[in-house]
Amino acid sequence: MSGTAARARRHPPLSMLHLQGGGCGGCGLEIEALLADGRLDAVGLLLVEAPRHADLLLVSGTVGRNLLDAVLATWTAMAEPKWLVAAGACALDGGPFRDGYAVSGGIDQHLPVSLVIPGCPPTPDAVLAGLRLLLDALRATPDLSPPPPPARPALPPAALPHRRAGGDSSGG
Amino acid sequence: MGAFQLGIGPVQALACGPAQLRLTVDGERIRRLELLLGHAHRGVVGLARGRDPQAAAVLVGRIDARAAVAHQCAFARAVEAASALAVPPGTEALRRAMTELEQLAVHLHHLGRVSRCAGLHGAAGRAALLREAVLVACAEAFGHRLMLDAVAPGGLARLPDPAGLAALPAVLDRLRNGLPALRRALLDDPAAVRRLGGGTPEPWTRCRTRLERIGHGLGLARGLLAEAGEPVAIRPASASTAPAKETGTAEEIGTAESAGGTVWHWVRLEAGLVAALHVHDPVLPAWSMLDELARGLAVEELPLLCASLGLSSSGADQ
Ligand code: SF4
Repeated sequence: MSGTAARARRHPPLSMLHLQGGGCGGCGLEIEALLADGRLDAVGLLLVEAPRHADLLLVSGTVGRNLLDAVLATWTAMAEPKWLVAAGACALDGGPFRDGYAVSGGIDQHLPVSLVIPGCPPTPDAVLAGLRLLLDALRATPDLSPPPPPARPALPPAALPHRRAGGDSSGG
Repeated sequence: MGAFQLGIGPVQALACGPAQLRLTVDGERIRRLELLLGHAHRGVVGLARGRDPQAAAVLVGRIDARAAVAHQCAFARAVEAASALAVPPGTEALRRAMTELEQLAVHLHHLGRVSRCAGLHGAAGRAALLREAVLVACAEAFGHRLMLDAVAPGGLARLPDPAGLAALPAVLDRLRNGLPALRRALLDDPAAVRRLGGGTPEPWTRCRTRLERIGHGLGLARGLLAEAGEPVAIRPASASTAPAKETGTAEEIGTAESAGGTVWHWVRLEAGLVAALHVHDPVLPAWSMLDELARGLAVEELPLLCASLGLSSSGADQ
């Protein structure tokens, strides 16, 4: 039995909210694969849908300018202490879409990120390994506080919320 | 009693990806469903413009991971037609086999999601195991579980692994053997029939259709893999297969099949670069059916309906 699994039995499970942003959804598919085979439960992670119930926020996909407010509201609604995990290239820095007019950079420009899981997408094994690292650190030091907010200023909101994807005649 | 309005999203787990809904409810029944999409918009078309087709192929493969091969193939076919680029028949057969493999995995994904939504954990586990077998096999053969960066205009983006290719028919056998139990757990089991066909027959009939498509796709994939022949005949696209009409302007359409229907790409090349692109993903029309299908359902039946339709915002928003 691995160290994480042994500790998971001694500690109450932590709860995690998966916020799927834009992107191709590949990261979301790989994270969902972990749900399907019960491996999240095995490391002591419980998936929840309400921000109030979540200790961890797992963000995958692009945070578009029109999604940023909702992401910030989700984070604000979570109770302290809370941790943020960015999974995949899109959440990290916009990934293959980083130069697009609709994408507001990585989530770390707006919120304090505790863990980054690289990949496009990261495999389920990589996601699990990353989450284990964080869980082990949290359980080893129960009073571990989340990192301070990022120094970089947040992007100004887009002039007009983008209502519909469509012909894409707006350039960019 | 009057009607109430209920907002859902954009951060919620109803669909694959963010979406915002406004429900008008009468008691618990949905009277009307309004949709606000666009939260997954990335400006794919804007980013593809001005790129050379090989670089744009990386981007279009990431329009929607549930149709990654389909988008790569549709785009590649449009570019190939516009630049008079010939693809060896064996390579074309292999690309079609890859779209079939992708559809198998995506149908299994949606079946698993529906099962979990309906609390049918046995069926969910079966679907997940079969899907995982396909993804592992694809990773071995094509270098990526979801077959991203696998297809390129002119052929394939990289040479498939011969041992991985040779192992694919065995995975198809495994699926064929595993399918009857999944079918029983979803279509015949009385609890499943009750839960999937409770509010509206839609989830149950969609599951049946997906299971039929899987059965059909297994046969197609097997035939196409045999047609593709020895891996030695498959050459990756290289710099030497750059568009032939380097200087002129040409427009063409390419299509490919995804689990949700046909993907279309229209492309205009100018001087060998992507000058304009239009992408049709069949998930957008699927979203437009949601209002019609949701009317009369109880609010708590909506997640199951959404899962059974296979809705995703990635392909709709681009
Ligand atoms: S990081 Fe890659 S796989 Fe994940 S959502 Fe973005 S494009 Fe898709």
